[in-house]
Amino acid sequence: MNFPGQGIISEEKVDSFNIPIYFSSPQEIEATVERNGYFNLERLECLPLEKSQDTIPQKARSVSYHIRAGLEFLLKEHFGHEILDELFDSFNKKLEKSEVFQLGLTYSLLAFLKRKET
Amino acid sequence: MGCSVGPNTFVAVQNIVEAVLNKYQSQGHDHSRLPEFQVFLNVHALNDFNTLFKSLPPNRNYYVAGMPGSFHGRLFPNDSLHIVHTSYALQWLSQVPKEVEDVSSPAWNKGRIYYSSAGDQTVKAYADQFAEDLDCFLHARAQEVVRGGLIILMVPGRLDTSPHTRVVSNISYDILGSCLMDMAKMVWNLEPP
Repeated sequence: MNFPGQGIISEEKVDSFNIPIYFSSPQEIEATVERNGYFNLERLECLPLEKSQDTIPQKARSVSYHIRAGLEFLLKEHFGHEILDELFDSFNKKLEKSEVFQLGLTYSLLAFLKRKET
Repeated sequence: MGCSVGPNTFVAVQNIVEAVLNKYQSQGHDHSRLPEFQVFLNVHALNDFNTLFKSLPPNRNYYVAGMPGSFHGRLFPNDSLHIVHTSYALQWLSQVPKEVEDVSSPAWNKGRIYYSSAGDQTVKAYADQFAEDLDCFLHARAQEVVRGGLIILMVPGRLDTSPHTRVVSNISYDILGSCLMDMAKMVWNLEPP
């Protein structure tokens, strides 16, 4: 019998996959700019994302599309393209059932840096 | 920098061009003395620049060129840029931190694909990699940007007071990791004895 996804990924494959993304905070940006020393931090703002009126399934779909667009290349390279549809199907279902949209916060950090004269 | 291939890039370009022109006009410069604009669009060489160029606005008041390469290193000659803009690109690390993939390291990230609900060592490895990458970015730009020039930098992030586990994307990446683990376990259970 042929189960979708069967025999395609192992736990070792999951262990060796890591997403190369990091969400920093204003303090971390400020500290790095200061240590670097070439720029003055003229302004640093933490902007909340506007609250969306979408329903949970709409939000789940949008997060799922968004993440697939960003990570598809890496996932395909590591696990093979065969698992992607099934993976994002189950991801979408789990997102809908999760509390991510009640608990989660999203901010954009906006920084203006000016090259020092010296 | 790190503009990918979508047309939203040109909204940012237009905003910057207009802001600079407004500044010149508000300072009383007449039309004949307004600056011209040369815009370089930078993204990794593997991206399809043709897709990006196809959505160039037809009636633009600036000149455009592509600049392939990693913004963690040098891309331009010394003192050749006045304004650098980068939005939602620097959250991408130049690599997964080495310790996170090292089985013998305390930062090894077993059973997960992301740092947000991992141990302190893993989180620290990610934070250090981000700081190192941002430093490389700033170091390269420091040579390229003229004295008094600007960098406008936007990244998705979090409040100083909010833990990694409260960021929407972070929670989502953890859920994606649990889906992958589900698939791995399903395979395990179905394997013949």
